[in-house]
Amino acid sequence: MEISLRARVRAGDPDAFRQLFDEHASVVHRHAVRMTGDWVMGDDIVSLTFLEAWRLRERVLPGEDGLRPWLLGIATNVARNTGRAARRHRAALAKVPPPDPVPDFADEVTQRLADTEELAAAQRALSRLRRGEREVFTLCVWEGMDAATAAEALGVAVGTVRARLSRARKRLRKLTELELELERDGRTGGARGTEGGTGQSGVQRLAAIGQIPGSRHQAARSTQETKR
Amino acid sequence: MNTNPRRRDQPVDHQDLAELLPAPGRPVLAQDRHRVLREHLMEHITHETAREQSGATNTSPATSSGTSPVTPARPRPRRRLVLVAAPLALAVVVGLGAVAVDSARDGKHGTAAAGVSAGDHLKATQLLDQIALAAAERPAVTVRDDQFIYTKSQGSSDELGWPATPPQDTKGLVTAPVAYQGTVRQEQWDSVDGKRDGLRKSVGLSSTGEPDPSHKDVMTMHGAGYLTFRQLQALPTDPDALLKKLSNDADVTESRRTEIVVENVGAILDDATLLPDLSAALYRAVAELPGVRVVDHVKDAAGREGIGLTFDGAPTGYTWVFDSSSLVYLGTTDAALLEVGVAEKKGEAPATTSSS
Repeated sequence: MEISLRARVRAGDPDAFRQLFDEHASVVHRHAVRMTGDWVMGDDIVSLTFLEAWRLRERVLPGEDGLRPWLLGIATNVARNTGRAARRHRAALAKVPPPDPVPDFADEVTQRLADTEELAAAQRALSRLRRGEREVFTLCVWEGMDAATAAEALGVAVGTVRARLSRARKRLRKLTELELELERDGRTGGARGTEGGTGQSGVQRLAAIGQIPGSRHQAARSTQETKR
Repeated sequence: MNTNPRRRDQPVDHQDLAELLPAPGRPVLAQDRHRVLREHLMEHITHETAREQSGATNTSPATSSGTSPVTPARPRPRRRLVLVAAPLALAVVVGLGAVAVDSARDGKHGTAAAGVSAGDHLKATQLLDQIALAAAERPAVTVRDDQFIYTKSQGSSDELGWPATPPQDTKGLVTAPVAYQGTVRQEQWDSVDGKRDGLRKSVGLSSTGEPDPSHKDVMTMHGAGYLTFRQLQALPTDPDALLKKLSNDADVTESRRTEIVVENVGAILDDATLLPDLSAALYRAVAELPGVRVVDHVKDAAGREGIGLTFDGAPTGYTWVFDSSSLVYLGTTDAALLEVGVAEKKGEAPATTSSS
């Protein structure tokens, strides 16, 4: 009889974790980057999520359901407090080499630039929400979870998920038009406020694709600066 | 009007929500990174497994901060005696005297918590009763539809959102805002009837508490936020009726009811401080819930110490904080309410305030 993946994860079977990683790392990564708007951070959150999954493996309940909600719940917690997770797994994280500064293929660079634009706009909107709303929004809307699954992933009641979605909806209404307007003004050199900008952006763009080692300002890395 | 954020008979339509935000990009984990990260995970697992098998002390995964609802048995929070100053300025004084309080910063998602003892719950109920009385005595405000409700809050950027005006590059393209990790002070103007756009100004605070102009944001708030002030005024001020409205789904399991009500009350508590009858009713409604505990000597997000209330199922450490003597609502451990009032115009300081 075949033993379920849940049972094997719970039992600490290394092969089960390999399978878990292969099946879900890309989704965890996507969720992490969308939550944080930061590519480098995304890599760290993937590592930390699976290290946490390993640490917390005995909490997996028996059953046949997929483990994606469990992993995305952990990823959300990690993103919420990257510093703490990074401290806990400092040794393991320090061994992971930073991403290659320049992706291998030009296509990838182009794709990343395009994505970074989109991520930036989405991130700006997302940053207007309170934490709870942000987490529910990314899980339900961007990862397509239903309210019950998101509730399970976050360890909150279904009603809480619905209430947060509802607040997010009201907060974000019309925001898209606002963003587009803003962007249009920006592109045409329109009369936008003078705040922000200040030479920051070019650096930020490059940082997002990892070309400025010094910009690795995030907490996850700050714990292991000596390594580099 | 309807306080139920979503009725059960309305299907959740995520598509319309998705359209409220720009597309979130399609970040892809490159194959080589996938491999590198996986091999490091496997190395860690192999290493730990080997260590465990060789009889190292730590044989079971540590506990804490999980997302699973199943929490292994944990030691009960330390119990200690604390003296609670009997609040002044109260018409009816119910002596609190010595109160046994769980050191509840331990928090977690309280779903697995054994709950609150009868004694603890009684103390919470008594405190809420006094808070309700104090709230009822605050002056009521009269507002016009064309005015704005002003709130000034302070908390972590994680809670309140980043003050991030997106930088633009030389071509005027908007790029990702810089994540800001510090404390944020935020002023917000919400239209009384919800028919006008609101405004939010936020600024990061330096370690010494000074506004840091390199982290600031001014934005128009489209939509009414959660409930408009007019909608708040229309809420029932009978605690039972209010509790029913705040419970969302009729069939919500009792164990999750506290969490949902606290979530919903938390979203309106700031503005409700301008409505004495509603505030009092909110606190009396909360007093009817199980899983409410008093937390003594707790600080709000601006560092002001007071007496707190926390709840089963609330996020870790989440506590409502009240001034120990006046019992005025100070805010929460996530976001302190520094000031609330009614402003003639958005962007302007309020004409009448009740600062806390």
